[in-house]
Amino acid sequence: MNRFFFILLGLAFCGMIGMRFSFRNSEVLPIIPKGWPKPIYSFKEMRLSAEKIDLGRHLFYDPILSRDSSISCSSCHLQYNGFTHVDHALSHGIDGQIGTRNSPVLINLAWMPNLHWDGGVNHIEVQPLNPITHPKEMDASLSEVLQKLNKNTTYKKKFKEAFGADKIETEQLMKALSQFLLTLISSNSKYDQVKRGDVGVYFTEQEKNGYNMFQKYCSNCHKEPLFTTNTFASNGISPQTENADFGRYLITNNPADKYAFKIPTLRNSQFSFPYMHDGRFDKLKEVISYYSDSSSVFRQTNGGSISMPLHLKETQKKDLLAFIFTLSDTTFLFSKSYGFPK
Amino acid sequence: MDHLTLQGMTNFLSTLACLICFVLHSQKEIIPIRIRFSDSSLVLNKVYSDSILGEIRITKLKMYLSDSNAKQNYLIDLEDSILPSFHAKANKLSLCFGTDSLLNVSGIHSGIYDPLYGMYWAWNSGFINFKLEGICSTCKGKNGKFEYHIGGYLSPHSTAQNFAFTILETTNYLDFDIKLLLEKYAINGLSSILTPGEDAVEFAQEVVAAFRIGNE
Repeated sequence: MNRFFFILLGLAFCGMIGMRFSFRNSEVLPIIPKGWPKPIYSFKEMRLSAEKIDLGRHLFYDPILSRDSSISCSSCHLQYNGFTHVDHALSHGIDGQIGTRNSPVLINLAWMPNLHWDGGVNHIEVQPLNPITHPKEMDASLSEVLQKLNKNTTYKKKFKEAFGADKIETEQLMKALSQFLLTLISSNSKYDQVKRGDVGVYFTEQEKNGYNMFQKYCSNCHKEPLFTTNTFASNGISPQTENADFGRYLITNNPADKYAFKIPTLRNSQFSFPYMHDGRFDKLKEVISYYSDSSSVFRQTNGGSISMPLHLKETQKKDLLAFIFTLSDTTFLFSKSYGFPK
Repeated sequence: MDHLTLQGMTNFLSTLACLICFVLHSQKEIIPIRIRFSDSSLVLNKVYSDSILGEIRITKLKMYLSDSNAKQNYLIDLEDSILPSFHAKANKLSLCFGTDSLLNVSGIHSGIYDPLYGMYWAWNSGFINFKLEGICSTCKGKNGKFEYHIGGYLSPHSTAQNFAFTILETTNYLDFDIKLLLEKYAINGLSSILTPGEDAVEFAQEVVAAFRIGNE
């Protein structure tokens, strides 16, 4: 009897430990590339964990987040294109509705103090609220999404593992998604390999020429190593005649911000067509030609400017393009860690 | 003689102490809030008749209001049957309308700050500190509709405000009367304010001005 009692006690103790460890997350601390600035978000403070990131990835690819379960985040953010939407000037969402902007890439978000073309989102944890509840994107109500998730046994289990939560609530949903987004770090392009001095990796003459031109004409706004300053600028493209998009001004009400948009990263831009907030340019060479040949006025809201047109020769345009192609990171674009979860 | 003097002093001091306690404790410390339309309790979706506003119906009223003395934060929602009470300290009610600016920049929150309550702007991150919606027959808005979503935390358009009242012996309630607020805006001014900015700041000041202490 005594032996039986102690066996039971031992099993109970093991069970208690098991319960504690079933909610013990595996901490994840993404490596910050050498020479890069400090991210806006401290990975340690954000308490990134493998369980939360994996949960976030599942949610990212799951249309359960939309009203009719037809649209997922990945519908407008495809990995192979730097997590943006291609072949559409303006992204389309639920019921085929066309939105007002081209979906931005999801690259190196951990370094972005503001999200969206107009910088209206000030923290990555609240970003997913936008597409989930936007009537032209996923058009879902938070309460309905949470109801669906709470009825789903797979998600109940995953949320329990990640957060120790018996009931799935808004905070956990947003944190799971944002943790996955924070891990989308692109830092292994040919440019990065050259900069690191990786053995056997060198710029060609054309790429070197392009890099020199880039540093002369483009780096004010597309500053290395993020290839954006994450600030706002108007590059002088004319507003659309109908429903003109005022950009940053919609958030700040500052007239100086009219038609200014967030400077996008050039990383992986070889694959993230079309370009500009409204997707008006299909090809990168059209963008280069715009800066080279257009007499539009460029205005950067944080000071600094370039004198347009740049009057580049055709060979110079090709060199610049060649350099931009060195910013493509196939490790990022094809990583299984970011892809559709199997 | 000495014993009698000592006894007398003790009695005097005890009486004095009791008197002080009585005075202190006779001041009210817990003041419940009432939401009013003029002299009546405001009930959602009830039609009120008013000489200026005509036929008026409030469909939504929510606001963030904090009790600074008790360090308690509330989301007041007229759909809830129970409204909070506020704590007076040294005859003073200290209140804060709106949300702390730090809350607006620090990501997702839970409890009364859960976006599920419809008090968060996704497109321009930040809390809606006050939400008032309804219809009135004399209002300028389309179909008589008015909508006020008052938010903003960045200077100079911060809408959060601290205010205070000195309470009296006869103070029984903290009253919030929307009649004057609506007369000023729905009839004579904007029928909707839906973004941060100067209009929202001005409206927030009028919201605070619509509070009174009720001495019934």
